[in-house]
Order: sequence, then C-alpha cells, then structure tokens
Amino acid sequence: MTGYAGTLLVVLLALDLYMISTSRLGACIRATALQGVVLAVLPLALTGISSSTPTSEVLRLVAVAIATLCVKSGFIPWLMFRTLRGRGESREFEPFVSLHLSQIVNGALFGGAFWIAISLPPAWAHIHTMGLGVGLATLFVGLYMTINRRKEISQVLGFLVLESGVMVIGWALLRQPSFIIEVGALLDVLVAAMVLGILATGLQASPDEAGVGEEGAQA
Amino acid sequence: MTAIFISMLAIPVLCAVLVLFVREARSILRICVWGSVATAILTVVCAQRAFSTSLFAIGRQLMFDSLSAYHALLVVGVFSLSSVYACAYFAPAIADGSFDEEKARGFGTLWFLFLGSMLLTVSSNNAGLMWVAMEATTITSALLVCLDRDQPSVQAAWTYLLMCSVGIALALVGILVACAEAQGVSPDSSSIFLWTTLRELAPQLSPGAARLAFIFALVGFGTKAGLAPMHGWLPEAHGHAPTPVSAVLSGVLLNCALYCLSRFVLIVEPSNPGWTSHVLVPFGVLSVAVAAAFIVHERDIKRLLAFSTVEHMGIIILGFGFGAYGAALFHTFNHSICKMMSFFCSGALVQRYRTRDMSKMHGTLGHESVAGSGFLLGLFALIGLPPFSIFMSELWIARAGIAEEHIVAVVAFLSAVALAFIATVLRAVEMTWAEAEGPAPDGSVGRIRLELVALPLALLFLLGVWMPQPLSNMIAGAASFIGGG
Amino acid sequence: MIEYGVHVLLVVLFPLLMLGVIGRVKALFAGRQGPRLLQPYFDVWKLLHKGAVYSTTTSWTFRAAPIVSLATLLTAALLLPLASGSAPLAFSGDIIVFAYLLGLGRFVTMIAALDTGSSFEGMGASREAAFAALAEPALLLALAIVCVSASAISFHEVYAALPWGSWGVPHPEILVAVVVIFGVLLAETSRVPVDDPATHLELTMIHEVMVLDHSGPDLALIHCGSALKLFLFAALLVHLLVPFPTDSLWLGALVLCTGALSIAVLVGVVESSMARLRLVQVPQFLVGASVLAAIGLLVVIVRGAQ
Repeated sequence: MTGYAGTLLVVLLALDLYMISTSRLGACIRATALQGVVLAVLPLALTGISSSTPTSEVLRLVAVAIATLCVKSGFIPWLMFRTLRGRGESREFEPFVSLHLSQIVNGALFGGAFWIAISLPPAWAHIHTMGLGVGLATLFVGLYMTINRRKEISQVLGFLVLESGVMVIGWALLRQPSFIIEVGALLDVLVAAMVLGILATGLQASPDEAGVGEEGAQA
Repeated sequence: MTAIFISMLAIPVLCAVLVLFVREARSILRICVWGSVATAILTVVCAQRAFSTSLFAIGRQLMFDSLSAYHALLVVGVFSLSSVYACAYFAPAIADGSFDEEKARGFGTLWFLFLGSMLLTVSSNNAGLMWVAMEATTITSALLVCLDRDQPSVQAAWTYLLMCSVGIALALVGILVACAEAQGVSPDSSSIFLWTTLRELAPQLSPGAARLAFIFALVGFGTKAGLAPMHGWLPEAHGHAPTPVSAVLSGVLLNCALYCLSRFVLIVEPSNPGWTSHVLVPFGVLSVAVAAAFIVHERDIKRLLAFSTVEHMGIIILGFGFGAYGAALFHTFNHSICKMMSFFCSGALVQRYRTRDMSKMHGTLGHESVAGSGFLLGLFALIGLPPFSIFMSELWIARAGIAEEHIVAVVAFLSAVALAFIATVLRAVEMTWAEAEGPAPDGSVGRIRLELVALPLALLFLLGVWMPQPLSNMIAGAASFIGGG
Repeated sequence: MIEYGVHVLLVVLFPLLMLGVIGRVKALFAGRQGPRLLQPYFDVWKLLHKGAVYSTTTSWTFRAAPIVSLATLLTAALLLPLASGSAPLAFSGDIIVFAYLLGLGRFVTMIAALDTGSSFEGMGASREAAFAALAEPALLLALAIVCVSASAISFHEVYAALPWGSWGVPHPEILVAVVVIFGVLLAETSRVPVDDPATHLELTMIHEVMVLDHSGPDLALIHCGSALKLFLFAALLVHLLVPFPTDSLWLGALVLCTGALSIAVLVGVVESSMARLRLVQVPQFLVGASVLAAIGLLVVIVRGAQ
C-alpha cells in the first residue's frame, strides 16, 4: 500500500501549492474539499487492508473514512460557500506576501519540513517518514496562509489546512488511530464554529485594514 | 474522596445547564457567585488531600496532584471573587436594559463552562483530554470576550480565537510527538497518553524527539499564554472584554497554559538536562522587554494591564528557565491576585469616567476613593514595589538567575522591569493626583465593594513580608512535580 | 538498422498528424466539424511551393534561423528513444543535451525575431525569453526527478530503471514529473493556457508574433519544427507513463503512436476547456510547476534517505 499512500501524500502537497497560489476563494474551498477526500482515504492506505485484518477493524476504518468525508468534504465546504454567498465575496485581496513570492516561500517551507522529517533520530524508524514530512509541510503551509491572508474566510481556510497537517502527522506518528479521530473531529467542530461566527456576526475586514487603496484592486 | 473530586468537576457543568432555565439577570449573576463558591469549597477539600497524596479518578484518566491542586485553588479563588464583582459590574447595564435576560444567560452558561473546562485542564491525566479542555477554554472565553457584540470586541475575539487555535494545534503536534516517542520506547504500553506514564518513561526518551516536542509545545502553549512574539491577541482580547472576563483571563487562563507547559518541562528535563533554559529564557526576556516597550506609550487602562500581564508571564517563564520553579509558582499566585484586583478597580474607574483613556481620568483618589486607591496600589504592586509580594517573587527569580549565571538575561529582565516601573508610575501619578479638568464624574456608577479590593491587597502585603509555612509547603510540593524529584 | 529506420520515419511523418488531431478536437468542442486530420501536411506542402519574402532589414541570421531550429529539433529527436527503449544517439548525459538543444532552437528563433528590427517581433521575443527562463527550471527539475530516482543521466538507462509500483502504477514522483512536463509542454508549444496559437491580436501573441515575418519554405520548416517539439514532449510523457514493451519494435511504435495521439487529444481538450491566463499569471503557473517539480524531487530524496 505504500505506493498509494505516497501518491495521496503528493496529491496533498500539490493541493497545498494550489491553495497558496490562487486568490479565488471558491477554488480554495474546493481544494480543501479535495484535501478532505485525501485525508479520508489516507488511513486506509497507511494501515493497509489485507485478508488477515479482522472485519471489525475494516468496518471501523471505513466508517471513519466516510465520516471524515462527510464532514470535511461535505459539510464544512458547504458552510463556507454559504458564508461567501452571504457576504458576497469571491476573491481575496492581494496578501501581504505576493502570490508569486508565496510559491517560492512554499517550496522553502516544504524543504524545511522534509529536512526535519529526515533528520530525526533513528529511534523513529517505525514511523512513516514521508507522512511526517508531508504533515509538517502542510502544517507550515497552513500557518503561512493564516498569517498571510487578509480575509477571515482565507484565515479559516489556512486553519483547515493546518488541521489537515496535524492529522497527517498524527496518522504518521501513532499506530492507535482512535485518539486522532476524536481530535480531528473536535478541530472540525472548531472550524465550523469559526465559520458560523463569521456568518453570524458579520465580521468585516474593513477596507483600511485590508489595505485596499494604493494596492489597487483584487489580485 | 473520588466522589468529591468528580463532583468538583461536575458542578460547573450542572450550573451551566441550570442557568439556562433561570429568568432574571440578577438571579443568574447570583447563581454564578454561589456556583463558584460551591466549586471552591469542593476544590479546597480535594486540594487538602492532594497535597499529601495524589488523587486519581475514572481509571487514572483524571488526576489531582500538588501542581494541579495549586493551580485549581487559584482558579476557583479568582473565579469566585470575579463572580462577586460581576454582580456590581453589570448592575448599571441591568438597570438600563442592555444586559438583558438572553445576554445574562449566555454569560452565565459560558462562565460556568469556562470554569469547568479550566478545572478539567488542571485535573486531567490524559494529555489528549487536557488538550481538549484547553481548546474548550479558548472557545468559551472567546465567546465571553465578544459578549458586547460591538465591532472592536468581535474583532478582538476573532483574533484571539484564531491565534489561540493555531497555537493549540501546534501544541497538539508537540503532544503527538512526545506520545509517539513514548510509544516507540515502550510499544506495548497502552496508556502512553497519560502524564504519569510519560513521566515514568521520560528518562528513556531520545533527546532529539523530546526537544522537538518541547519546541512545538512551547510555541503552541506560549501563544495561549501570551508570550512574545505570539502575544498579539492579548492586549486586544483582554482590553475589549467585559471586566470580570478580563480579570479571569489575565488571572487564571494564562496560568492554565503555563501549567500545560510545565507538564512538558517535566518530560523533557530528564533526557535533556539544562536544555529547556536555553529555550525558555529568550522567550521570557523577549516578553518582558516587548511588554515594557509597549507600556511606555499605552493610554488605554485595560490594555496597560494586559501588557503588564505579558510582562509577568515573561517573568514566570524566566523563573522556569532559571530553574526556580518554586519562585515561578509563587509569582503566579501573586500575579493572579494582584491582576484580578487591578482589573476590578480599572473596571470601576472605566464605568465612572466613561472612558478607557487614562489621560482623561484625573484625581481618582478624590472622586472614588476605593477604586482609585485600589488601582494605584495595584499598579504599584504589579511593577514590583516592596513591601508587596511581587517584589519578593521577582527578587527570588532574579537571585536564581544570577545563581545559574544567566547574567545577561537577568540584566535585561531588570532593565525592562525598571522601564515599566517608570512609565507606570508616571501614568499613575498623573491619574491620581493631577487636577481634575471637566465636571466631576457621576458617583452612582462604578462602585466597588471594599472587601474586593482590601482583601487581595492585604494578602499581597502579608505575603510580601512573611511567607506562611503552609503556603511554602504547597509551593514546594507543586514545584517538585515540575523539577523532577 | 530497422530500428533507426522506424525512428526516422516516425520523426519525419508523424508530428504533423498530432497538429491535425488537436485542431479536430478543438473544432469538435466548438460544435464544428473542423479541418481534415491530414490538413497540416497539405499546409506544409503548399508553403513549400510558395516563394519567400525577406525584409530588407534582415540579415543571414533571419534566413538561417528556421533551418537551424529545425536542425536542433531533429538532433534532439535522435537523442530521444521513440519506438524502443534506446535512441540512435545515446551517451551519458544526453538528457541534459536534449534540454539544451531545445533551448538552442528557441534562442535561434528569438534572434531571428530581433533581427527583423520590428518592435512587434522584439516584444514577442522578450516575452518568450521571460517565459522560457521560467519554464526551463521546471523542465530540468522534472527531468532531475526521473534521473535521481533512476540514478542515471542517459535516456535509455533511465527508461530501463523506471520504478513501477504494484498494479503498474508508477511511483508518485514520476506522476509529479509527468504533470510538470505536461505543463512545460503547454508552455513550450505555446498552447492555451500559456499562449493562444489561434489568436490574431498582436498584443496577446507570444510565439506567433516571433515568427510573423517568416514566409514560404521558412514558415513550412517552422511549422514542422513546432509539431516536432510537440511530438518529442509527447514521446517523453508516453515513455514515463506507460510500461514500454521493449522486445517488439512494431508493438513499441504502436504504443508510442497511440500514446502521442491521446496526448494530442488531451492537449485539445485542455485548450478548449480553459481560458488563456493573463500575462501576469503565466509566471505564477510556471513557478508553480517548478515548485511542484521541487516537491517531487524532495520526495525522491526522502525516499532515498529512508
């Protein structure tokens, strides 16, 4: 199953790159939904299903995958699209670090994350190194997006990416999946709460704060 | 005993539910007071037992040892007094109708859930459960910050929620790394998430992994504790929140974050002796310096107190960094009491003068003697004037720093504290003794009970001159849990 | 010997068919019937019989450029294995020579454009230079992924050592290299989303404006050259994607032709379903491709260090 896990992790990284280089909020949300699909399937690929795994284990993994899919690729993107429509936004303002430079920064973040993953002591041989590297990379990208973007929806998207990174790290590090699921569920609840909060309170990034003006129109 | 322990955690939740059915705002506030006091009584009983032997419950998932008990006592103490203050603080708002039934219900429920989640944080043995409780404190306190629903407080609550959630997620990575390393060391152990197990396995953890875990935990919980450079949310959130909420936030929530961090120090120390100070000391010095720099220009009364909180968090971290865990815990206690009282007085002053700008408040001693003098003395205590106890704890920390040969850090720390001292004294003098300019402010609002101010001040004064033996034992017992036996 | 014959036959006869396929696919998407599949051949034949017109400002560079660019492409075609696992010219490091031959061809075309002394061609040349400067690292990084994962720098060694996972699925880094090379294909052959080959507005042209002044046989050579470039990239992609049968020559040629035609169809689909990127967004596209290739390279290195 290593090949599939590797492919899924690379898809995750490619989606990170896409999210960091686009200014279209709708495209960003759809990329998040795709990441949710990858996250749903990843545990199955990492732990592997063979003929010797007990049925209960298989059922549990599949149930978790379906639940992740519903929440991350269904409910949360739907909520975000509703918020977007409610506020009438469709594009992000030009972020603090320009989109062009962000891609290179992204590459550097990936390099740093992989460097950390490789340089861990050999006692960690039982963990999935590439998974840890990808998880750390996604976490850094999420952190970067949260800091770099001006609109609240984009900041929440950055937080979602960060949370995906944390979950991938969890899957890569630990063999007991149960704890990760609960934690992931809670983080999703938090994200949903944030989005609802934006929708309900009508939080506005005022034009002065967002820097529209001499920096011109949307990217 | 287990029953009392569980009920200590259950009562806040029950009260939160109870509040939903009550009608009048005033009754809700009264329930807040009685609920907090009931929880406080139970906590004292548990704490008494915990200082001799640790308490466990629900199959070792919950634990109450000396460190937990110490922090729990602080939490319930500050909460009880803040509930009492809230009754007086919200009285004008109830009178003119802006604090209506719905808002009061929201406040009451969130207040108790906040209390419950903080108690759960300090009494959970399961690292995951502790993390969940910290997350819950973030959500409930963010909702409390934006209780007023005006634009600045909503913005402040949003910044707070986002930054602290990011911090908490990073802290989770730290927890995962630590637990994975523990799993690698003893693969057949089923309880790797328990602090007791992690403490046992601590000497066997590989140094590199422990360091990685600690760095993530430091950045993560440090964001929640308001250490520079992650302190950006703190002045906003503490400044725009209603005063009872600010008091609790500054007083005990940051302590809970530091509690989680101190559990991590415990795990990392055995495999990396002396390394944590290399990381903690720079953060501490940076926090103190940044806070002092911002205090110089700050005019908003509550933001001034918030920056002072950043400064004191830095001092506590310096205490951890210098290895003087007892000093740091003592400073935690002093700071909580003092900050709470200062916020009470500042809230009263804000209500009275209808502005948060200190340059517009003049002659506070004359107009409203309790709040004005309380605030003045509180400021003096915060900046480390003897004979208040904050001076003693800062002295203790500085001495430890010199003993550990962190001379540069101590010099920086003391200079920053001196800078804050000068700036604050100038402001305080201006506020208290300058000639009053406009008409005298309305005397019917902004009252504060004398006990709320006098009691903490007396305690600070007492501890500044004499350290009672029971308190000293409590501190030593709690410190032993951090510093390793 | 037969191998070389098949190779040369493919190089000379096949590429223009790909252009026809692309045109047909685009027409079908637009609801039209479109030109016949062999139309590019007839176009080239027509151009070869016409006379060329040369501007008085041009020099020998302008006359030599189409010939040199086609020559470089033909040489590059000799380096790339097509129907079998090895090419007529094979030596260690031929991958790098391949990339730079393509660069040489482009350089010569740009020089010719500057030689005309007209500002339009100069604008086209400068745009082409800017985008080529960004596309080159992407191509080289993608080729580096493949080389590092096979620990070799020659095409036949690399193709022989390509790792195939379970069920014939290549490893993820190879997929990344394929995606990046497809992006570079779109950039180098001036397809949407980088450049619209059917545009008539000078301000939106990039590649077309460079070759605006060529006519007659020169233009025929340029058309053949660009078709050949498309074919070479497609052949590269097919070899990376499909486990190639190395025993039978005709089976290999069949697989290659089918694969190249499917890639032509894919290019047509992409051209019909996307809008051309704004000029300021093209660097973003290319830098993104480079970073993606860098990710693939990181993955390969992590794999190696594991």
